[in-house]
Amino acid sequence: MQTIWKRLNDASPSKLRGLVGVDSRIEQINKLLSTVPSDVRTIGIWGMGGIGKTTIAGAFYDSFSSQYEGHHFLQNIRQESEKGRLNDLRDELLSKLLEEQNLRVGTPHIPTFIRDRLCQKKVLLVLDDVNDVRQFQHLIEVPLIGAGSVVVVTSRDKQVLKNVGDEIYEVEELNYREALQLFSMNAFKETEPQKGYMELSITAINYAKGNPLALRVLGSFLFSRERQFWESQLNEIGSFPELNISDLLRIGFDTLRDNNTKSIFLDIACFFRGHQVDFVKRILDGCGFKTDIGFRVLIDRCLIKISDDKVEMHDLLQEMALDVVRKESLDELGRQSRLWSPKDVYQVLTNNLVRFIYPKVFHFLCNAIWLY
Amino acid sequence: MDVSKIRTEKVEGMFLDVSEKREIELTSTAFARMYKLRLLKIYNSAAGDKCTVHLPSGLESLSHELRYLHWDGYPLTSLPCNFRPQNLVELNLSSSKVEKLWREDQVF
Repeated sequence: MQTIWKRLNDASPSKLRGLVGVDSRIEQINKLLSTVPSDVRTIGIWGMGGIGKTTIAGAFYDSFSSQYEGHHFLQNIRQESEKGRLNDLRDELLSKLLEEQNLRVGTPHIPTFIRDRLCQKKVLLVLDDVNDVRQFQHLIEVPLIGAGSVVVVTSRDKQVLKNVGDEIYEVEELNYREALQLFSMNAFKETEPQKGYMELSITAINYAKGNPLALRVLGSFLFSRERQFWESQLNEIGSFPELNISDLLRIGFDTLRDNNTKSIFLDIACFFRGHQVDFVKRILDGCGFKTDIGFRVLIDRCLIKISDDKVEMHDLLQEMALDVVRKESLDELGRQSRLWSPKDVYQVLTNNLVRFIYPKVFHFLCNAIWLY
Repeated sequence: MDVSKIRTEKVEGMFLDVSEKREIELTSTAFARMYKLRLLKIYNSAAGDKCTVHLPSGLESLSHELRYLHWDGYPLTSLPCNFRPQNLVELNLSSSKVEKLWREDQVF
């Protein structure tokens, strides 16, 4: 019974709703996979930020995971790795694949009894956002998993994928038809533009250059706005000398109508990405922000999303937000509203007369010089 | 740079991951001029709650605007005596030396 439930859950088509152009891309991945002769096949998904690598990998996983004896989707590997959490990720992965709760390995090498069990299992594994070959090597040893297994790796770095993958699938931009559909779904909540808006919609999708994230952000900020607003905003975008994706995302932020929502967005980007929704809302409520409405607007505008009760946002949107904060003051860090990088915080605290305690060797050298 | 001129009044949020440094020492006035500080977290992402921030001369003040105070291994036995915690929504001082959060005679 449990297995049936599990399968039903895994195959839930609701996860696939609202995706455009994903089916054909999954088909291409399958085609590439079929050309790989080895027992365990590794395929890389490569493309620029916002192009939909994670979405495609997720849809692939949702579609096929039930055909494998074990499966897992490991998210945000780059970020977790920066936090020094690679060992935890590997434990999580092994626990899921072997269906054992809270498996703790604790050693650099995977013990023999786990290896013996793993190599008999046919698994589907997605490693999302890998930016260093060592992350891949730490998490999984390909000869270790059973015949028929598939490993999908997404990365912005093609070189990483060349080193770990049998084949690389390069995610293409959405074509004209797909872009128009995705844009319309966000700008009109319909699959095509409303009457009289075709020309403006085409202008908009030309700016987004087939990038799904940009299409969603652009579409949702124009949603239910009057024609004049569309015209003036699109004119303004058109006046950018070299329009790139981050400029479009920035417009999504700039056009938020109140400072309440802007502050919530910046706080999440700087401090609370990946934290539990309840926790974040409680703190921001305490700061006097109207979080219910703020969160709703940010979700509607495709600037944040809630997944597994956690507040998430796209890397490019976070980069845009951090840039907004950095530009509050370029010359004086203390004039910035939020500080998150250790270097900047140290500097601000140093200016408040902070002193670092040097390691013992330094003390020894100082003493040695003093003696001379 | 003339350190006395550094202004920090604008800082509303500050998260410090100390994993890159072994130990740091702060003066008692480190947070004195951050009047608007509402989010403060000091933690070590690489070693759980092991945090080595020293405050050899104590801590004079913390912003009254603080809503979120998370300080792993807070090195003192109490919070600054003039600190008014009425705005706090979340206080996390794991592995700290705190014995008493604030003095009994403290008026909020």
